This record gives sequence, structure tokens and C-alpha cells, in this order.
Amino acid sequence: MKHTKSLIELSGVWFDYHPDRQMKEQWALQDINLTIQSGEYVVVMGPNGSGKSTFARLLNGLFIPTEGEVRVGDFSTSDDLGQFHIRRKVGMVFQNPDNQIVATTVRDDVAFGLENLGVPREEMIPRIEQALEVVGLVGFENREPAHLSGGQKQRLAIAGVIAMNPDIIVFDESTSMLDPQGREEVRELMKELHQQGHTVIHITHSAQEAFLAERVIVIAHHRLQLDCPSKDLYNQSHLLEQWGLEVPLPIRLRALLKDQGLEINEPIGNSDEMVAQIWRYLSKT
Amino acid sequence: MNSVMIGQYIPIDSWLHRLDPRSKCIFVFCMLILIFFANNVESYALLLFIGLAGMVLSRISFLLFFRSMKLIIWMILFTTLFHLIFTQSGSAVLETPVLTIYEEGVRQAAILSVRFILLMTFASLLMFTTSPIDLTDGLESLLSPLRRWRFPVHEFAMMMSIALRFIPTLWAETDKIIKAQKARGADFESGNLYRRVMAYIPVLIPLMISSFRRAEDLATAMEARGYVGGVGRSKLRVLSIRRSDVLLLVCFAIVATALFWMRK
Amino acid sequence: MEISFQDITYTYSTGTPFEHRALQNIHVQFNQGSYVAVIGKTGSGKSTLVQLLAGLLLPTSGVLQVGDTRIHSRSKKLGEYRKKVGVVFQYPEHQLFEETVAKDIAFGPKNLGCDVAEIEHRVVEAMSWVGLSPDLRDRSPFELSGGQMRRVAIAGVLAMRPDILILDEPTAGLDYLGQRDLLSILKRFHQHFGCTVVHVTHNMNEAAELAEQIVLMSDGKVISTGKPVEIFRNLPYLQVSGLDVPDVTKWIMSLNQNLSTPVSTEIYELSALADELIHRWRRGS
Ligand SMILES: Nc1ncnc2c1ncn2[C@@H]1O[C@H](COP(=O)(O)OP(=O)(O)O)[C@@H](O)[C@H]1O
Ligand SMILES: Nc1ncnc2c1ncn2[C@@H]1O[C@H](COP(=O)(O)OP(=O)(O)O)[C@@H](O)[C@H]1O
Ligand SMILES: [Mg+2]
Ligand SMILES: [Mg+2]
Repeated sequence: MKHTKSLIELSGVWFDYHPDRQMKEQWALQDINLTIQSGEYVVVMGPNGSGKSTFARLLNGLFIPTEGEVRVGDFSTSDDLGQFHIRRKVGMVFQNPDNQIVATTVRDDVAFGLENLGVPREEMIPRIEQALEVVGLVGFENREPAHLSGGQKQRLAIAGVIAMNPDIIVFDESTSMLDPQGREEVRELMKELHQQGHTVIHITHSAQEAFLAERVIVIAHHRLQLDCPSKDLYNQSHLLEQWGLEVPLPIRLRALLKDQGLEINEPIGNSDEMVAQIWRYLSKT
Repeated sequence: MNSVMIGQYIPIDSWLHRLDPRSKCIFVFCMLILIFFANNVESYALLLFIGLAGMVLSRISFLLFFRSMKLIIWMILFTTLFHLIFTQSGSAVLETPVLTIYEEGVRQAAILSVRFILLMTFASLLMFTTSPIDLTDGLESLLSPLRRWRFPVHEFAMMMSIALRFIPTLWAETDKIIKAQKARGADFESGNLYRRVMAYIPVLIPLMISSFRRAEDLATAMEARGYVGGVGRSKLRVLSIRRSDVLLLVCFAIVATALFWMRK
Repeated sequence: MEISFQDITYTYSTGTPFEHRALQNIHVQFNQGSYVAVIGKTGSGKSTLVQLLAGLLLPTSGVLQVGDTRIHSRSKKLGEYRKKVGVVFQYPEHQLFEETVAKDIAFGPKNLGCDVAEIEHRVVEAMSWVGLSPDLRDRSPFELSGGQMRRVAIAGVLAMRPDILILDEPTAGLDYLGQRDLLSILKRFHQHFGCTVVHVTHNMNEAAELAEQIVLMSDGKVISTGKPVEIFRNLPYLQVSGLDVPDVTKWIMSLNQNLSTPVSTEIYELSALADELIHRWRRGS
């Protein structure tokens, strides 16, 4: 097996907002050990309040672990120099489309991150153009954010992030406040960014979105509960229910059928396989 | 009616829209001063003419300028009445048993009304034709000499631009909260002044809380995008003085000289 | 109370450059006590429609008849009418303002002019409806989790015992469990009080599961209305309006591809689908 160095590595990470006031078993994140390789597409699921956003913010040094260490590439988020590099490497798209746009026009907002990095103006212009092209907002340069739809606002936020050329993009429930159309737009974009070689980490509580990734991580009760390839998730789905997460429809159906005596024990990896199983049982007769 | 509309940027293209915000700011600021120095009919006629020319050049419907006047109509009425009643010099123009109106009163009332209208016209011209971000940039650039005295020019400009960015958002939010509380039976329209003011508490508190939440979210988002203050930042926007800006300032010089000669 | 929209048009910011016609010649009727779902893409006019019904906006032209009340462009004194209508806006937790949960829930009943004993009774009752434990009543609503805050806000509306209950995307932003809980609360509340419920959503599963009547909107017009079956039968129509069919329906459709006698697409509940499949399986074996 080829040995590759992990892009992200969390070792023995504990975190709390008020570590001095809280008992350790109530900390917001407890004992997280995890590695993520370059180019992965990872979904993080978990009920509200379980610590997903806290996890996300540990990844780019917005929060520093109370105990343990987070390493991105060659740097640790715990030292100041490392933080500076990590902010460039890890881009982040947040939940509320309204609260992450800084500037009064689309073009200026994409420029914001580049300005912070001190990128010279001549270099900024092509990078902005390119980022807007990736997210499909060419022609919107002078629009005001208030006149964009929810999906467009999130795409703008993504453009602002990719203009900075990060290796890793973290989406913290970036689809949850959008309508179905906006969600679809953002999902498509995630897929595309992954294909272009970005490492994508997508926090969500939609089971449907979990299956778009290659790997699924479940955080519940402030701990890492499950970490498996998404194709194995179907057979683990009974676990999802226990954490208050959405169970895919075919698996719920299988459980209902089992209650009434029709037991389908063959492993099911996706919706189509369940359809095929039912055909088989109905035509067996 | 929708009060955010007053003083709002009208995004069309015109000669005035394309001018450098700095020259517009300087021009309007100086005009405002000139308005107070002018003291005869000819000067006001000239200033009104310039105001009208500005309106035409801006290609914005007169109706909108007219509407922005609604904002100051009470001020005009009030000062007019004040002067008609209390200024008592010159010859009487109208005598009634309760009140005598004097020539000087009429003159003062007219001058003040014209001044208000001129002020509003030039202010509207600036606001209508300059996008908020241009205005911020212009001010940042004009104020930048103050840096020498430790005035936080960058922070000031950043705050202003964020405030401008969030005005429409907060406006929509206010509208929503008012509706939500109305739907819960809140009454904003009846009772005495005290009760009416108190009725807005259920609107103000949620609004404040949501503004704090937004501010916190935004601060996090800015930090995540590498913002650490004004040091080491580059800028996408550069302001450039063009021929038309020079033209504007030359026009201004001519007008100022003319007004000086007309002054009595 | 019968609700009838008669040729209603609504225009925002009339007479300004920002004039925008949000509703155009709306004709639609809701029966007394029915559960109505309003579906449509973002911007299709759903929120405008329900705000007219709530007496928060006045029609630009046309008449809204609710029981004996006629609302038109020059209607005045809608305060009395509004007392009969409860509205849960999108993200209703953003309207909380009181120091304690109980006081916030009491705001509506107090404005209705209920006496102290009645207010107390309604607060207790509403808290139990939404599943808030009684010992939360003296807590500040702002210390609660997002899901609990949403419950407080909804309790504040339920405590008004409205004849017409309007909900504008009530499940937006909740996690899976929170969504399921809320839907079951709404279902029980509707059955218990028999009030008319108007529920705006872009989640077809919600609409199919709860509604007796669906109103499909597109571009400021009601383009179709009827029972869920009648609406979801018409797939092309839905797709033109940028919408989809419920997940169960989608699943039945893929199942039907290989069945000689197709499963009825009038099934919207998973348990009903399981029953149907079991029935076929037993008959076969
Ligand atoms: N700013 C904060 N101060 C104190 N506690 C917080 C703060 N933000 C989150 N928490 C707590 O940390 C835990 C995890 O929160 P979060 O990471 O936001 O969860 P998620 O994103 O999964 O909904 C929750 O119990 C929450 O109450
Ligand atoms: N306060 C407002 N001022 C101007 N236009 C508005 C306002 N509210 C909504 N609109 C416009 O009216 C149309 C319908 O909006 P809305 O009723 O909110 O639709 P939906 O709830 O289906 O998303 C949209 O095009 C929207 O942009
Ligand atoms: Mg979160
Ligand atoms: Mg809406």
C-alpha cells in the first residue's frame, strides 16, 4: 500500500467554549481522532447541537483545541504562524447566506478575501473572473447581495472562498437554509469542486446528501460515532435512527416489511438495489 | 411607504454616475456651503439652474427628486410659518386682525425654503448617482490624510460599508418582525404616545438580538476569509480622476466666482 | 369559515421604480377546517398570498372573503380580524422578545384580552402541545437550543387558538427529528381543534403527508389546486413549476417500471406502501 501523508489530522481533540466551567463529559467535542486525505469528499452528519459547527471551526483554526492537536498539511492550528497558512488552505462556507457576504456588490465580495491576502490588483481581476465563472455568476458582478436568491448568495460565498485557492473547502450546513433549487445548485457545485481536486467536507443532516459523498462521519452526543464509506451506510442505517438522523426511505421500508414478516436480508447499497429486491420477492411466487 | 427609498442609489448610467465619487463629494460639499453664502435672487437662480442641470444630467426622473422633497416639507412649512409670524421688519404686506405679515418675513421665508430645497437637491444628486460603495471609497480616500493623527480611516470605511450592506437585510427583518407581532395581536396604531412607543419593544428586542447574531456570524466569516484589519491589504477598487472630473471642478470654480461677483 | 380569494392582485411598492407584481388574478377557495398546503418555487408568491390571508397586507385589487369578513384594497381596522388568524413565519424564533418562555407565549393571549387565569391555562396547554417541559417556563427563551426556541415561538401562536393557522415554511432549518416532531404536532393540533391550516412549504413530502388540498403556485399565479393525488399525478406541470413529486411517489414510480400491475401512486405514507407490498406478497405466495 502506498503511504500518503494525511492532509488533515485530528489527534485526541477535546474542545469546549467554557472548559473551566464545564464537566469534561459535557464538552462540546470529545476525543476526536480522525484523518482526512487530500481529495476526499466527506460528509459529516449529526443532530443539531452535537458539535458539527465546532468541529468545522477547529479545522481552520477559528477555534483552537482545548486539548489535543489539529494539523493541516505541515502546520498545526495551535501556533500563530500555522494559523496564517491554514486560513489560506481551508476555505469555509457557512449556513446563513445573508450573514457571510461582506461587501455591497458581488465583485467586491469575491475580492474581499484576496484583498485580505494582499493579492495585487492585476492578479485579483482574473482570479475574480475565474471564480465567478466556476460558480456561474458571470454577469452578476455589479449586483447587490440583497438582490440575489438564497442559492445565488451561497454560490457567491463559494466564489469568495475558491478565489483564494484553498485546498480544502468546508461547508457548514450551507444547504440547510436554501430552497430545493438552491440546494441542488450548491450540491452540483460541491461535486464539481471535488472533481477539480479540492478536498470537500460537507456538514449536513440530509441523508440524501450523505450519499453524494465517498465517506460519511457521524458526530452525535459530542463524539465521533461512525466513520465509514457511504456505500456501507445503507446497512448501518438502523444506527442513524438512534442518533435522530434521517434513515433512507428504502431502509425504513425494509424495516416496516420486516415487522410484517417479509424479511429482506440481502445487503442493500442503494435505492435501486432495494427496488430490485422487491421485484424479486414479488415475482418469486 | 417604503422609506428606505429616500436617498437611495438609483443604478442607471449617466455622466454624473460615472464621475469620481471624490469629486462629487467635494463638489456637493462646497455647493452646500455656497448655498448659505448666496444672498440674492440672481445667485439663487443660478444655483437652482445648476441643480436642474444636475437632475437632467443624472437622467433620473424628476418625480424621485420631488419625492425626496417630501422628507423636508415639514421643515419648510415650519420655518416658513415661523418667519411669517415672528419676523417683524419691513413694510406690512398683509394685515389681518390677528396677524400682520411683513415684507422681511416673506423674504426670509422664501430664502430659507429655497435653501432647503437646494440642499435637498444637491444631497439627493449625490446619493442617487453614487453607489454606497463608491461613496465609502471616496470618503475613505478623502479622509486618508487623517491617518497621520491616528484616525482609524480603514475601520471607519469598513464599518460604513458593512452598515450599507446590511441596511436592506435589516429593513426586511424589521418588516417581518412587525408583521409577526401584529399577527400576535400587537397594536402599533392606537393609544397615547407612550403606549405607542412601548408597543415597539417587541420589535426592537428581536431586532437587536438578530443584529448581534448577524454581527457575530459576519465577524466569524470575515476571520475565516483571512481578515486581520487594514494592514497588508490590497484593494480591488482604485479611484481615478478623469477629464470629466476636472471639468466638474472647473465648472465649480466658475460658479463660485460668479456667485462671488453677484454677492451684495 | 370559508376562505375565498376573488380575483386578487397584489403589487409591492406601487408607483416606484421598484414596483413589483407579486400576485396576479388569484382565484382560489379553502374549505372550513381543511388542511391546505401551498407549494411553489421561491418567489412564486406563497408568502404574499398568506400575508394577505393574515390581514397583514391589503390586496391591490380584488376581494378576499373570509367568513363574513370582506377584505379589499381600502379595508380598515383589521385588528379584530387578525385575532382570528395565527401566523407562524419562517424562522419564528426570531420574533421572541420576553424574559421568560411563559411570558413570551402569553403575549398573544394577552393581546386578545384574555384574563389572567385564561392566559395561564393557555400557556400551560400550548407548552404541552409543542412538547416543552413545564420546568422551562421561567427560563429565558434565548438560553434554549434552536429547536426549543422554535417550539416556544409556535406555542405563542397556538396559544391564541386561531380559527385559521398559517405556517410559512415552519420546518426550515430544523434537523430531521425536529421536522418530524413539528409535523406531528401540526397534524394533531389540526385534528383536535379543527381549525383551517394553511401550510406553505417547498417540501413535497410534507405537502403529501398532511394536506387535504394543495395549491400550486408559479410566477404569482395559482396554476393548479386540488387533492394531493390530483396535483402529483401531473408530473410535467410540477416540473414546469420547478417542483418535484414526494419521495414515496418517486420510489413507487421506479418500482412500477417492472410490475405488471403497478402500485397506486396515491399512496403517500410509507406504512401504507409497506401494507400494499405485504398484501401482494401474501397473495402471491
Ligand atoms: N458560542 C458558544 N458558546 C457556548 N456554547 C456553544 C457556543 N456555540 C455552540 N455551543 C454549544 O456547543 C455544542 C455544539 O454546538 P455546535 O457545534 O454549534 O453544534 P451543531 O453545529 O452540530 O448544531 C452545543 O451544545 C452548543 O450549545
Ligand atoms: N417587501 C417586498 N418588496 C418588494 N417585492 C417583494 C417583497 N416581498 C416579496 N417581494 C417579491 O414578490 C414576489 C413574491 O414573493 P413571495 O410572496 O415572498 O414568494 P415566496 O414566498 O413564494 O418565495 C417575489 O418576486 C419577491 O421578490
Ligand atoms: Mg451548526
Ligand atoms: Mg416565502
